[in-house]
Amino acid sequence: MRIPLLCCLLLWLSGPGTAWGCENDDACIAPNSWQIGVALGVGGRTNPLVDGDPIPLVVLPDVAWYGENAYFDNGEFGYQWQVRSDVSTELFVLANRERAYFSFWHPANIVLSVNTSSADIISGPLQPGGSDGESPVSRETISINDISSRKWTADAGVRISWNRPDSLLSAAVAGDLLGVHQGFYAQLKYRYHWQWDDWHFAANASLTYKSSKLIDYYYGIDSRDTSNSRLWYEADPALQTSVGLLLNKPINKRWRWVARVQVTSLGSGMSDSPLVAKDSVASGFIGLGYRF
Amino acid sequence: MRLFCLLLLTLSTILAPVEAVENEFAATPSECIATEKGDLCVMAVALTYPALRAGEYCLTLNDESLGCWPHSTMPGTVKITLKEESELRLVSESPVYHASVILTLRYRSASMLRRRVRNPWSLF
Repeated sequence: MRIPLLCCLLLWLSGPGTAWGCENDDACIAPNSWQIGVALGVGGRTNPLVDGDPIPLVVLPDVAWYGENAYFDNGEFGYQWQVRSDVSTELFVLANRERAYFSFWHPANIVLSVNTSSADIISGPLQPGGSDGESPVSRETISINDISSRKWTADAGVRISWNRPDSLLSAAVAGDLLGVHQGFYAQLKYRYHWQWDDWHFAANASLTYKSSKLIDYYYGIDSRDTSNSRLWYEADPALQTSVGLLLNKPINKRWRWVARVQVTSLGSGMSDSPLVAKDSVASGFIGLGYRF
Repeated sequence: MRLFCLLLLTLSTILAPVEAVENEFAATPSECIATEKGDLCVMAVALTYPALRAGEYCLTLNDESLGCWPHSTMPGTVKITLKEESELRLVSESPVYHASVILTLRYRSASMLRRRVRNPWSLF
């Protein structure tokens, strides 16, 4: 229900205003330069795992460096061998974010204060019609505190992007670089940029296919996790959809208002896992950003 | 004496009449900015003319004719398409007249801002 609502909101917001090219906004960067910023504010991200606490977003860094071909952009290392105004192709390496749900010491959680106050074990049935995003079926679940650890990994892939002055369509395929989950994902993403008065908007929508190996490594349950075979779960591939909106209003050269919201449906391959209590993840943030 | 000379020099500089700018054939802007090399660059150029004697005058761009007009109806603006640095000429056979300006071409890609691969503020 929330995703269609957000889609309607995005369509409504994208109606007025004028499209903007890459001229003078946070999404643009000159070759051979850094873009460093930090935003302080309030926000959070829901954790879909059983006993996974919501993750507060208080500090939001923004770090990017672009050379002529190589780049680092918010945790992603890449090399663009075709840089044109209409199309670009890049190889990239990026930390796998599935791991972020499982432990505090993940890059995604470094600046966040997480209070893990979950019970030692919870393996009772979830009640239907519970809190937002809960799976509607009663089933046994297992806490993230009672399973074997999942390893951190990074994915490497290739992406092709078709750029227009006001939008970007990209297709990417990435696989496990370190042989941890041995799976892959494929993503189709669309971004649309526009400006309304001083407000810069960037809406995005994506469709991501995650292979069964990827989903199964993180959300599958087997004898390593519990001897209770009723909880064992072998994951199917997951098809995840996501929509989001980034908002940026410059106050002056350094300061700006920053807000963003993102909602992602997890797909049945992931949400059917006894380890997963919700079928979607939502994140939001609003704060003041400072650009160094 | 030295101070007097300096004063005279200063006064002569201040009081000297401003040299009148010669009214000459000019095009504004004289630089067209294309997205990247190989792209055609189209722009509207405003033209100013000197006091022309009666006759027919022609505009050419790299020797390609843009048109000919009587001196009193010369166009104030022309649409120019550039694929390289070009010479815009104002010519007349009778009376014999010739003037030209150089129109240059630049590419934004040389110093163009790039759109970031990831959204800003998207580390987490």
